[in-house]
Amino acid sequence: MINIQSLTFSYKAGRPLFENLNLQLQPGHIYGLLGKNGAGKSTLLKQITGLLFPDAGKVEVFGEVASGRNPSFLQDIFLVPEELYLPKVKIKQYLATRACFYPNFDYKAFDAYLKEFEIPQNQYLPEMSYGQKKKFVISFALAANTRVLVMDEPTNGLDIPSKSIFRKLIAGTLTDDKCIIISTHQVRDLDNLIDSIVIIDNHRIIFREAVETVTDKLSFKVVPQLNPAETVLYADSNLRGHAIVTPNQHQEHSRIDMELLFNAVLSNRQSIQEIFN
Amino acid sequence: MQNNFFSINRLGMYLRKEISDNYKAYLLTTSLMLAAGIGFALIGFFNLHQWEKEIKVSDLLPPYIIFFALYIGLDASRSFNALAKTERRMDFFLLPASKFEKVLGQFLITFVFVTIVFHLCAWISFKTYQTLAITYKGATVVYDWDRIFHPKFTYFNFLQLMLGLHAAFFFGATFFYKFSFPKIFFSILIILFAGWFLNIAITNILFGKSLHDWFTNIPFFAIFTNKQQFAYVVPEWLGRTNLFIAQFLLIPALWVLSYFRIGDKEIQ
Repeated sequence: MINIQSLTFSYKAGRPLFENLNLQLQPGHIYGLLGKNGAGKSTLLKQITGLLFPDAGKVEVFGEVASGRNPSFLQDIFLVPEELYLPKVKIKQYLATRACFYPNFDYKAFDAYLKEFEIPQNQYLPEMSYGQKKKFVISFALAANTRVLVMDEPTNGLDIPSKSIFRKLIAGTLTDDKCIIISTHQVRDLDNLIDSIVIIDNHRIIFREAVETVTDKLSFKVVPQLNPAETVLYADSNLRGHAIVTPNQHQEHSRIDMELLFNAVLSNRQSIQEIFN
Repeated sequence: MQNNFFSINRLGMYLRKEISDNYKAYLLTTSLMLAAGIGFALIGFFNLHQWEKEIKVSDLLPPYIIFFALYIGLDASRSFNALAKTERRMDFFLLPASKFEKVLGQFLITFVFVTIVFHLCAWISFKTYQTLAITYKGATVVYDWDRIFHPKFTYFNFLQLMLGLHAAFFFGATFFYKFSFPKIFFSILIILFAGWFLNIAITNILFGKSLHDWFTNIPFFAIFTNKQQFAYVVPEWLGRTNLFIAQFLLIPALWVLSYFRIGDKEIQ
C-alpha cells in the first residue's frame, strides 16, 4: 500500500536526512513509528502524505506518487498533524464544507465518535481546548474512512480517559484495506494498539517488526534482581525492581513493553539485529 | 476514472469551504467598503454647492479607479495567506482538491467576487449620492463616460488593466504570505525600476551620444534623441506585438507561473 523506495531527502544541501531509505507498509496493520527527536519521523510522514518531495527515490501510496497531491490520492489519505489548524466555524459548518471531499465519509460514525469523546455537536471550534480540538480532528479523521490514516503525536493533549477511547476507536476502525501509521514519543499510549513497530534512528529505519515477532523473540519482564548469568539486552531500574528485555530462549509469553523495546533497540542494536535476522 | 485536474463539483465544494471559513472577514470587508462608499457619498453631498447643478460621472471615476485598484491589489495579495502558517499550509495542501481548482478558486474569489462586490458597493454609494443630490440640491447627473472611456480606451481595456494588476499581485502572493500587499507593491516598483534602468543602460550603450538625455526613453516603445529625427519609435508591427504580449500573454503567463509555484510548495 505504501511503497518507499531509495528515498533520499535533505532539508539542507550536504546534510541528508534520509539516504536510500526503503519501507513498505501493508494494509490491515497499525504501524507505530518511533524515534528520538529529530530522527525524521515527521519528515517521513510528510513524505508519505505528499507534503514534502523526495530529492531522489520514490514515495507511492496505493500506486500514486504522493508528491503529485492528486485529489484521488488526497481523498484516500488523512493526516492528523501535531499542530492543528481549525477555521473559526462551528462543528456543523466544518462538517458541511469538508466531509464532502471524502467520498467514504461516515456521518453517523462521526456523531458516535464525538459522543464517545464527549464533544458537543454545536461547539464553536476556536473555543475548544487543545485536547478537544485534537479529539475533534481524530473523530473527523476516523469518520473520513480513508485507506491511509497518518497520525503525528495523536495522544498529545489527550486526557487519560480519552487516550483509552482513542485506542478503542482506532482498533475498531481498522479493516483489511486500511493502513494506520502512528508516530509518537509517548509509546505507552500505543500499548495493545499497534501491531507493527518501525523505529527510525540516525535517519534510517533500524527496526521493523510485527509485535507478534517481537514477543516471539524477546521477553519483557520485571525481575527483583539482575541475574549476571542471563543475557539482558536492556534493563531499566524502577521501584518494583528491574524491567528487562532478554532473548526469548524458553518461548515464554510476555507482553511487549514498547518503551523498553525502543531503548533496547537504540542501545543494543547489533544484538537485537542478530536475534531478528 | 477520476479527473485529477479539474472537476466543477470539487471547485464548487472548494469555493463553499473557502467562503464558509472566511465569511466573517468577507462580510467585514464588504461592510467597510460599503460604509466608506456611503461616507464618500455623504461627504460629496455636503460639499455640493447649491450653484453646482450638474454632477459629472467623469469626476467620480478617478476615486472609483483608485479604490477599485486598491481593493483588487489588497485582495489579490492575500490570495495565498493560508500558506503563512505551517498548520494552515498543511490544511491547504491536504484538502482533496486539485492544484488547479485551488488556484482557480482563489482567482475567482479575489478577482471575480471582489469585482462584483466592489461594483455593488460602488453602485449603492453612487445611487445614495445621486438620490441625495437630486432630492435636496436639485442637481442632475451627467453621464459623460466618454471623457475617460472612448473607442481607443474602452471599459474592457480598463478591466484588462485591473486584471493585469490582479495577476501581478496574485503572482506576488505566491512569494509573500505575511504583510504581502506592501511587500508585493514595493517588489513591483523595484522590478519596474530595474527594467527601466536596464533599458537606460542598453539605450546608452547603443545610442549614447545621440540621446536627448541619458534617461529619455520609453521601454519597448521609443527613444528620444538630440538628432533632427527627434524620436526613434518602434515600427508599428513591433508596437502591436508588444501590446498584444502585454494584453494577452503577460497576464496568462503570470497565472501559469502562480499555478506552478503553488504546485511546487512543500511543508518544511
